[in-house]
Amino acid sequence: MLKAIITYLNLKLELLNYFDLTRCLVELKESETDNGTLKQPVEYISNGEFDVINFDEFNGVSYWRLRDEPSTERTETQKYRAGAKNNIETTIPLRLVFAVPRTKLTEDDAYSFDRIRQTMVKQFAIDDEVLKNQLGAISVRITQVGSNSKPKEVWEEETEGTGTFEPKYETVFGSIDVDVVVISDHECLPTECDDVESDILRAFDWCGNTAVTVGRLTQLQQTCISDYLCGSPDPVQIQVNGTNTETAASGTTYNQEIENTDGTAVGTAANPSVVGDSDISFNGNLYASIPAEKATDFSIHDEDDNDVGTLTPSDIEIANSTVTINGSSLGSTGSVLAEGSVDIPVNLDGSPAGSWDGDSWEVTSAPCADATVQLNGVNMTDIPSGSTENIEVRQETGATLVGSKQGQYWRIDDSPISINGSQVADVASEESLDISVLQGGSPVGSWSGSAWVVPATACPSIALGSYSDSGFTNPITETEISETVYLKAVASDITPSKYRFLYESSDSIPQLIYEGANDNASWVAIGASGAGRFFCHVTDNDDDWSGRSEDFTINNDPDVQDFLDETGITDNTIIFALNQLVNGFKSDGDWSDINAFYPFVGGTAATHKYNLKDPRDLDAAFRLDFFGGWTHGENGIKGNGTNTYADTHLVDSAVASASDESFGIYSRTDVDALQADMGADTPYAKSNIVSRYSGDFYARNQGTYVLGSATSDSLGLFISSRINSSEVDGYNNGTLHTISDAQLGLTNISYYIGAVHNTTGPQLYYSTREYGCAFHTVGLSVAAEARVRDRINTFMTALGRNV
Amino acid sequence: MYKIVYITEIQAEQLKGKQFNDSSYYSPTQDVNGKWYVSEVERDESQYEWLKNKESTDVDESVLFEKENK
Repeated sequence: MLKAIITYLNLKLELLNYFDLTRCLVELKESETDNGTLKQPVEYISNGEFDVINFDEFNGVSYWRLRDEPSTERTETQKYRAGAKNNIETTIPLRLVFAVPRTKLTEDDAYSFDRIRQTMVKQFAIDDEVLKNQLGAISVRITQVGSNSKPKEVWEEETEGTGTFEPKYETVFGSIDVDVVVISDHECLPTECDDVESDILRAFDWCGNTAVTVGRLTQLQQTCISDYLCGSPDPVQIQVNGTNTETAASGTTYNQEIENTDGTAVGTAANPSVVGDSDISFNGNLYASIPAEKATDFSIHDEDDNDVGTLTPSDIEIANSTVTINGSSLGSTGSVLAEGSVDIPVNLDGSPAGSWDGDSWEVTSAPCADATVQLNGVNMTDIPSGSTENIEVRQETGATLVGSKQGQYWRIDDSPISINGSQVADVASEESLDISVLQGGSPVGSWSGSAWVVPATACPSIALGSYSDSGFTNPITETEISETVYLKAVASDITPSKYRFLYESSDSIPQLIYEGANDNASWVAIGASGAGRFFCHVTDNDDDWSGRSEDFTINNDPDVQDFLDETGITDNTIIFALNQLVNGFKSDGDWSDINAFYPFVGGTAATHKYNLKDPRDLDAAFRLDFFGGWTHGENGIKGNGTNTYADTHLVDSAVASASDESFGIYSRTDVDALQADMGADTPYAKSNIVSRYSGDFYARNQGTYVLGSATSDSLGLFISSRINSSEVDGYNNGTLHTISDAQLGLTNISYYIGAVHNTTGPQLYYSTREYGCAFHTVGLSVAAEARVRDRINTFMTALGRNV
Repeated sequence: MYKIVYITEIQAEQLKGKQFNDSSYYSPTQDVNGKWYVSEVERDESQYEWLKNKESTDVDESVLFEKENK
């Protein structure tokens, strides 16, 4: 047995591939050496030869040895009770000592020994029938009961006395203790014994003289043997029709009862036991006999083979038949018992009537009288009973049907009455309506056969014309701001007592031009530039006005428009004044002669600096550069008298000719002081204006020092003009002061405003005066000066800054 | 009497040719004593803090201009 077990366990170990050599049963053998007694594991080969286990010799070595002697004992607690099983349990305590190279492990770490131990135990625990069958055992159980992972302890135990610790570090060295428990029938206990009978019982004569041998046993022993060998008799198996039902103890009687579902015993006392047929009867009459547990179906049907009847717990009940007449229920009379009959009396006027014609009972009666049809109580016609008469309700003429059924009545809708498509009334059918057509409270108009015609009355109409001349001969549709437009209205179908003319500019602001009895008016164009409209309204009673409008556009003068575009000025008063000024200059023929005109409008240095004649932001356009602390306002520019001046960049030699130059300035401040208003002085020629100093007005022009002319103030327009080589004309608000002064030359430096551009000395003669405008042009004659002065004064007046 | 703002010559040189708004230039001017000045408007609208902080001075015309016949 032991050999078979170790061989089997080694086969299991070989499957793990841990060992190149798996030794079988090994013992620890002591031997005497020069170093004393030595104990080491050896495997007995034969003939007294042992093979020493060398762990270094192979790449992985294991061996088995007995930890103790195997033990055997009976498994039953009552080993000698009669009938007890005679199983033997043999326990073989083994120890597996092994050295596994770490290179063969899947993972080399601190858990290597435990991993090997679990692998081996798992391998041993696999339920394998091989060993059990090989041993002829009932069961084999392999159990790990201990282990030792400490190499030193295992080594010292296996090689006691060597005093050395030999296992290599590269191996996992340890041991596992395994118990192999084999349970087997005592008769089948495998023997690996020598051929010697080991059981004394077998020595007795059990076969030759059995009675004598048995008689030597005690009665109890005989009984135990009898029980053991013979045992208790088996019970009887009871079957019904081949199916196991019950068991009965040996020697007992068993009664198999056969009953029907009512609990009544049925069947014959024979085998087989036959259960009698069942009799099927209805209404007391035998219908059939059928074998027990067999089913039968019998049909209950009417004469047409339709299944009838309903199964109740005790009966089959057939329902009553239902009789109706013309689909109407007859109540309980129409309910007839199955296979019963009923007689339905059919009467006409109380007497039985009618006859069966094969599929229905036909009752005939006497014909009904005709019906009389009326409309609104008027007899229309008689019609046979049961027939239909269509009474058409038509319009007064023609065949058009009218009206509709509304509830129980036939109603005819109202007629809607409209005038010129507008409904004015509803008129009930066959009723009339009188519609009054009035004018001024009096009936008007007449019926033409298709329409009520009201004779026309005249409506006022107005023709409105706009002209550039007072004779109304040159019609215009546009003009420039500040130009005069002449308006004339012609009214028809009205005799106006009053006319009213208006202009609505492009910004929708209306201006009243005239209101009065005249049919014409003149208007100086003013307002926002762009497309506007003239209006003319007329009335003959001051209450009712008729009107007409005509489109009319007012524009800025192109030069004014350029100036406005540059300065961004939108004030209509300024715009009007500028248009009026430029239009005036142009009308007078003076505009082209002007080199620079500074209107000083807009109220800031940014707008005051521009030259109206050439409103570009360039020195070449004679745009002003202001120096010092000027004060800018709605009335123009004002110097501080200490350091203010404005450079015009206008050099006379560039724009003027000898003896043909003038310049002027409009002063709004009366100051009598040595303050230059405008000018350019050089050692060889002076051109300047001092409006008042010590009571005198000084005007120089391409000449030299001269005496002044008396002036009462420094307010208004002061002009210096030279139109010949011998005189200078100074104009003080139109008052001419002519001074003999030879023309010396052009200054050839730029003019200053509010001071004099002085190359002859340190002083510029700063002014404290406020200026409304300044200009430079050709030499002005008396007439030309008058024209220019008039335009400038008008300009100042329009701006409200005239002095 | 005039109100002016005195500045140094160096400051005057700094202001010459400079604008104190889009359309106006500084106008540093010397009085009869050769001292430089500008107006209060230039000071008030100036972009220079040093000028903004200057006090104005009341002066007589004779301080500003030499007496001269025109």
